[in-house]
Amino acid sequence: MINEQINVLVVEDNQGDYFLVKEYLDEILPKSTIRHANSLADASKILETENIDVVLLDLTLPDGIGIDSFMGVYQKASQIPIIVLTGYGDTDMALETLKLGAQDYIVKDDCNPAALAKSIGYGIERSKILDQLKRSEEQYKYLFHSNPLPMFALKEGTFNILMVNNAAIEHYGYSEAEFLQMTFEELSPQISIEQLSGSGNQDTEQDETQPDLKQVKKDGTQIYVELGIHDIFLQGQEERLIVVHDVTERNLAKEQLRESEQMFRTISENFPNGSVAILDKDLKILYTAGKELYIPQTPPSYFENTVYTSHFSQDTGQRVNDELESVFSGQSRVFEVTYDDLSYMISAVPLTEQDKSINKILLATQNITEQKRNEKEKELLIEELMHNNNDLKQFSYITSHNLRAPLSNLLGIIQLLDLSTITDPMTALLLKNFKECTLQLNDTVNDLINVLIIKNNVNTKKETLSIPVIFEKVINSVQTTVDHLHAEIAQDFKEAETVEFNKSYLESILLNLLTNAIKYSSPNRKPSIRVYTKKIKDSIKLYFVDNGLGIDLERHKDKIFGLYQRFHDHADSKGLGLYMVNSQIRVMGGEIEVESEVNKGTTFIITFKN
Amino acid sequence: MIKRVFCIDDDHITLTLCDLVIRKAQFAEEVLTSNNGKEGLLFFSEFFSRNRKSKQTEEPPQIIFLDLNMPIMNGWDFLEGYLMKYSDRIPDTKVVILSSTVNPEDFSRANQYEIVIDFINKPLTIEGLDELKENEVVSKFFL
Repeated sequence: MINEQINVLVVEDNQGDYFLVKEYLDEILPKSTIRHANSLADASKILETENIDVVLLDLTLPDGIGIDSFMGVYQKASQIPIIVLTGYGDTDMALETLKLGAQDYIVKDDCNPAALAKSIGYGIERSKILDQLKRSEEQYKYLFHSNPLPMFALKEGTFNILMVNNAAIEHYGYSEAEFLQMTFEELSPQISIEQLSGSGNQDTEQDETQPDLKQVKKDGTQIYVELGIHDIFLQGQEERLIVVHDVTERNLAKEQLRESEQMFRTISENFPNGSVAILDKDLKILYTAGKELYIPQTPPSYFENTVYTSHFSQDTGQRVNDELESVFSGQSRVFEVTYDDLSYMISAVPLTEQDKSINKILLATQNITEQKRNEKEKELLIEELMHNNNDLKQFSYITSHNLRAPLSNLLGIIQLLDLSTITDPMTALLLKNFKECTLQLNDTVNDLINVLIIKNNVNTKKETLSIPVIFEKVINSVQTTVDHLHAEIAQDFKEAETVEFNKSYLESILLNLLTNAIKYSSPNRKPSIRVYTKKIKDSIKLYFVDNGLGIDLERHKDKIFGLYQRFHDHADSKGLGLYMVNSQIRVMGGEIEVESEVNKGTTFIITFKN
Repeated sequence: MIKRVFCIDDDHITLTLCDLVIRKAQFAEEVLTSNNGKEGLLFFSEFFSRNRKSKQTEEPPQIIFLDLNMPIMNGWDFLEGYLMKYSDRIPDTKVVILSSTVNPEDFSRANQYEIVIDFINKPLTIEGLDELKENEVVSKFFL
């Protein structure tokens, strides 16, 4: 007896048979509801509208016979257990219905309550299990389709795609229909069938040595994937479920990491003329590399995990220790140490962590032995040069002095000499020439000494000078020559009247330029000289323009301000004037330029820096 | 006019010229000379011992024309010795450097001595002496 409330549909056109079956059913299923249909059409109606748990089906009905009759009901209720009722002669046909999906068959003549109860009981149980199976399959499908990872179901032993999930459609860009027309091999050209089998339900992704599988998306993008492969049963078939992990980005990140690590190693291992090291708080060397470590020919491993300062002598070690301690307090330090006869410059910087703590520091060590030696050599050389220079200077002072001493006596003598008292004309002439020679010699010696003093005296006093006042004084000193040549001198210092300069230098410069302009004036025209100033930005420019012989600048450009350069055949020319002008201007931080055209004239432009 | 000047120079031509120019410029009545610093100091040593003994006050030189480059004792050493031993006794006597030097250090060194009132580049000329007469220390002799 089955104490469940179940709905039984009996499809039987024979009333006698129906009553018999109903009687049995009432006995074994006291709580059941029994529905009766006389034809397939009736049965269909009831199945469509009512909830039936089990069908008892006669195979000979007015609107269907045998297999047709069974299929008619089965199509309407494949999930409901169908128990076929049959006569003696029809057992072959009944067996056929079992193959097609019938639950059981009962030969009407053998029918008794016990057999019926057993058959219905099994039927209902089996239907429940099938139902559960179906539900779990549905859940499985749900998991499959809504899984965020791309998934494929392949037919066992082939690349044929049976099913894909939405994630796969999205990831690869193919539609479901396109997927079902293609194979997994088309997605992954390098795949072999062995890669999809063998490991059964095991994930294959842990295999480190196996390279990632290359796949191509619909748009041609290459991706790298790892496959999770599981054998499953789906709709009664053995299939292969493939879960795809796209590792393209992970690999890219890995590759970048590898590259940056490689770069770091390349940098540190090739660190020129020295080494880099990372120290922890105990000054232990965590890492070191470089082209040249502290002890030549020693591998980095010798230093690693040793205390940095232990490689120095005690005194040096203590000093280095003090320096490094301040690095741990956040300062960057640069200091020098010596190791045997080698000198190193060490730059130490703190490696500040995100929480601002400093647990490690970076040292960059450079072998500066060579530079040190060069520096020392340079220092010695400079010292020697300075010594020599000083010697030369002293020598030139002594020479000048010794030259000037008798010369000044000569000058003293000729000044006291009264030529009017000499009666012999020959002696008078000789003395006159003697006087002239002495004065010339004095000029030359004085010029040379001036050059010497300008060269050696960089701290010449500067003062605010009025250009017109100084220029007036200069003109007065050569007034007789100016008058003699009827030279015209035009001046305009309105734009800039004063200048910061050394007084005697400015006098000397203007005198030199003026005497040059007069000395090298053209015999074909009246000398005309224009002197004026201009204010340009922060500087004052003084223009000194003449209409004299001019200088062939193309030939003499480089030499014009040189020592002992003479451009005109003139008795007074010593080749010193412009050299001194240039020296005096340069010493005061100014500049002089020249523009000239042969037989037109010359313009000197002096720039005073303020 | 100044009564006495004292020229210290190793070059006798310079001394002769000085004597001539000083007289011609009517700068001083008497020109005393000495050939180097040591002799110069000896002059003062004798000058003071002479004046103490005879008790007759001899006029000291009012200006010393001092050359710098001299053998045996140069101008600077003379100046140091003179300042140490004698200058206090005749504070009105001043020094004028008369030299052919071109060494800028000599000029700046001369500037550091209060007793040095001028620095004349050789040769000593009448114009040079006329300029010196304008000096405030010297000018009082020519009122």
